[in-house]
Amino acid sequence: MRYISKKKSTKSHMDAKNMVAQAISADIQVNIDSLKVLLNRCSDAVIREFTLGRESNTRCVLLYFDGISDKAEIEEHLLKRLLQELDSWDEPQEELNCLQTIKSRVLSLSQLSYINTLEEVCYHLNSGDAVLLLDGSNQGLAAGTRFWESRGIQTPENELTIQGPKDSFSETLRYNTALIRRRLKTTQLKTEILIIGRLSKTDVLLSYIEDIAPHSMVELVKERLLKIKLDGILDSGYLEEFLADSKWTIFSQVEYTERPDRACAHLLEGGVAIMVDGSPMALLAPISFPQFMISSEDYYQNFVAGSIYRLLRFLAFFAALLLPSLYVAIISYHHEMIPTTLYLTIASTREGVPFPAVIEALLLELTFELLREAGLRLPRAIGPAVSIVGALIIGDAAVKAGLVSSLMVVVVAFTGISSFVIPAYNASVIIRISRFGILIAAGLMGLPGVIMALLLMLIRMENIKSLGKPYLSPLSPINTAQLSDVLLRRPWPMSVQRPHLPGMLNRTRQKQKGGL
Amino acid sequence: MMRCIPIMLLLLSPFILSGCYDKLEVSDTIVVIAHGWDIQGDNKLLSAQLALTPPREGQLQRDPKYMTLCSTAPSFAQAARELSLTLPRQPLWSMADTIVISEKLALRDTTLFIDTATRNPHIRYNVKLFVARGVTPAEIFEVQVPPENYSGTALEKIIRIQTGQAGIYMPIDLKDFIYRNSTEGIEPVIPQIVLESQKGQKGIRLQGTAVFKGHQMVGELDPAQTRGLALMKSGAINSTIFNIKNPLIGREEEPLKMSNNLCLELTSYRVKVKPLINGSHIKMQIVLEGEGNIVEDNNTSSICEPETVQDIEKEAARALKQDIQMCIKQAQGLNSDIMGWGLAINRIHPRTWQKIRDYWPEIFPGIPANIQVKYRLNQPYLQKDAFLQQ
Repeated sequence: MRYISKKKSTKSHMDAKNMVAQAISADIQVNIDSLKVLLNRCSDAVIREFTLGRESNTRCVLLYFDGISDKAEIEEHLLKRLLQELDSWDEPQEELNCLQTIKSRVLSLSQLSYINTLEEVCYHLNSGDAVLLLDGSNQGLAAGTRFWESRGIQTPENELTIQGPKDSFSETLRYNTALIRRRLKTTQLKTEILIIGRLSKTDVLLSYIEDIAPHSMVELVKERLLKIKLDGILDSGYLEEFLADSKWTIFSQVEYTERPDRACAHLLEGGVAIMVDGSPMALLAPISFPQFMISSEDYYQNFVAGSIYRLLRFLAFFAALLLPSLYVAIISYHHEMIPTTLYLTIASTREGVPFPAVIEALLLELTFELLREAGLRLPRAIGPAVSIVGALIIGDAAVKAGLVSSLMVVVVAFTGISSFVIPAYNASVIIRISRFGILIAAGLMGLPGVIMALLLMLIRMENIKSLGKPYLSPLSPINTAQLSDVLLRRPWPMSVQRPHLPGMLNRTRQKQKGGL
Repeated sequence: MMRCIPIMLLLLSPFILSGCYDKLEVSDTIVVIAHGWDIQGDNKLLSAQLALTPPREGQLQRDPKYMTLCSTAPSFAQAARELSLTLPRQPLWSMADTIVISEKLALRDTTLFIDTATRNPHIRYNVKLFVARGVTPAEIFEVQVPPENYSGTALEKIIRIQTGQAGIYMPIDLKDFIYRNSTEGIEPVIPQIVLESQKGQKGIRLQGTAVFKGHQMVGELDPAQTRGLALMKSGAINSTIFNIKNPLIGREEEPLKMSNNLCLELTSYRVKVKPLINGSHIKMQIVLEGEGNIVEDNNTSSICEPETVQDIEKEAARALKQDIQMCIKQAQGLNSDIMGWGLAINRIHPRTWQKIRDYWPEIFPGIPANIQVKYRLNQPYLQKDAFLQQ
């Protein structure tokens, strides 16, 4: 075994590019030369040349990348067997059959496939497979020896629940498919791999349940994914904007989850889950906005509790979106709406505050966002310290200095807490950004401004579809049957049908009588 | 996109209609707790109780927590605007829960204020009305009514809470007053407020009801008559309390041990007022059905015998009937149809009303009333008999 020496390549970069497209040559020296050019300056590439058999002396080369291939497996099941078995096996072999014999009789690996071009060689090498080339054969053999260090399956970090499963997706795609397959033990669960990314050649997994997911929708997703010509896909987030029906909007049309149970629930409702190798977040589509308020825990606890907490979440949604705006609008324009005692309390806190209410609210909201962002990005050891410094010291000092009113601090803090109640992170981002727009409208026009900003938001949302599913469904177009499982949590025995999706094949979730 | 532009423009158009210039910062305002309407010579006198902003946390408490400003002008609207010549803040008139009308103004003419009360958008229809008897509204506003910070708030709370406690006065808000003022066959009333001194401290007290006829105050009802008035309207009060003579006294030859007083509570009542018309003869039938409990018995005899209960019920009915009779007598004496009998006739016999409406002031004082009161005793609370029963 030896590492490629870093000697200067005599061939130009353009040659290397052309070389990739070449077919595997029957002359192994040509292949070795080409591959040495291609793998030039790749310190982790391993090229092992050896000969087979005592008599025939067929030259072979075994290639793999160190670190992403299972070295022990390669040595045990490839090298050892090739050297030992074939050494004692001196019957003259016909060159063409040699590779086939090796595949069918010598190698004890389950994943073995023939490859024909150098491009395929490179793809398999980069994916962690070992590639075996034989002199005299214009085919190669790729052995599935992918193995890399991974985090393993850990508990979810962002979507926490008290009840329900505690495993989460990780960066390794195979683990993720395993987590789904374990929950949906059916061959109707399809997990198609698409290779996207000109350079990164990332495995993108498209999973759906064949009998449930609308065929046209799956095709649409596949078409949109295959159109991507980006050089690298590093996270499932890269795909969102390529998949979205409406691109120029803050309203996210997909949902991210790290929970396999949530992904499975989405698959069972006819959606698709897209996973990217190297990303622990699965991307779920199609999605509608009210679904962002649903937590998977709702379905694991009693339906009454689930419904109440879901209503609470909707309340929190409106608070997170509207509370500062309503407060500013009312105290700047509609004093008559406030009960006298409350007004006096507000007046006492605002006495001597130099800024108009809307500026005060904007400043505080901005500070809150800064603190939140700082808390997120800071190293774990400093994070909590910053939030305490921010929340307690800055807030308290600002109130004492008379820069902001204490009631505004309460309003902003309550709004912040409300925005954390929303289970979907990308939805809470939508809310936070919209909040600033509504706040400015409230400062300029009072309650009519709030209403108008909300109307603008609604009109925009009304125009959006997520893979053909209306973004506000089932609120608009109204669907009362589904509404009972969005605003509230419908008891399981009553969930007879799946939520409607355009073109859905099978809507029966629960067979009532007989049947399968 | 082209479709969106008109919608956007439409939604943005209000920016030019209203905008920042309508904004009013909280620190530029002052809360009006109550305002008073009075006259001074030929001018109108507006007084306002303004709440001083409570101090911020850590600052010293101001005392008093309000100030009273007065302004004189030919109209209340001008008087209100002219406050801005001395006051650096904009008063929020619509925050007021209470309006106090001076007796002088009420006796002169209600048209002097009824127009501004209905026309002005800053006066709420649910603001409670009071007539200041023997004092000016400004004097009422200067009285401290602990634990309330402001006498204006105190007045609103007093009239609201007493309906379930003493149960005498029926709260009258501006809407009721306007309704009674503009509807034929019913005349307005407003509860009266007086100043009283207790241990050298001035306090306020609800006392009696001002009775109006047309546009003028013509007299008053005393508290018993006021309760009679409330009893002729279902739901005017929630609960009231009254004393009767213990029916056992005098029936059995027992020496009077403590007192012959028996205190009863009226917890709910329904009343029907119906005109009975027989040719040219009009009679009002008032049927009151009420129920309540024994709250205090100063006797030692057993009151829970079936016969005794019946006697108590009869005695209670008689006491309630007396209040009603006194009210009717006073109203007829003042010739002011505060019970709304004319309205009742108009509703049930509109044709008859058409004939008599012009002569109503002559007819009203002579209309007899047939009052039937039924009182049902529910429970004697924690004790069956008097505590000292032998």
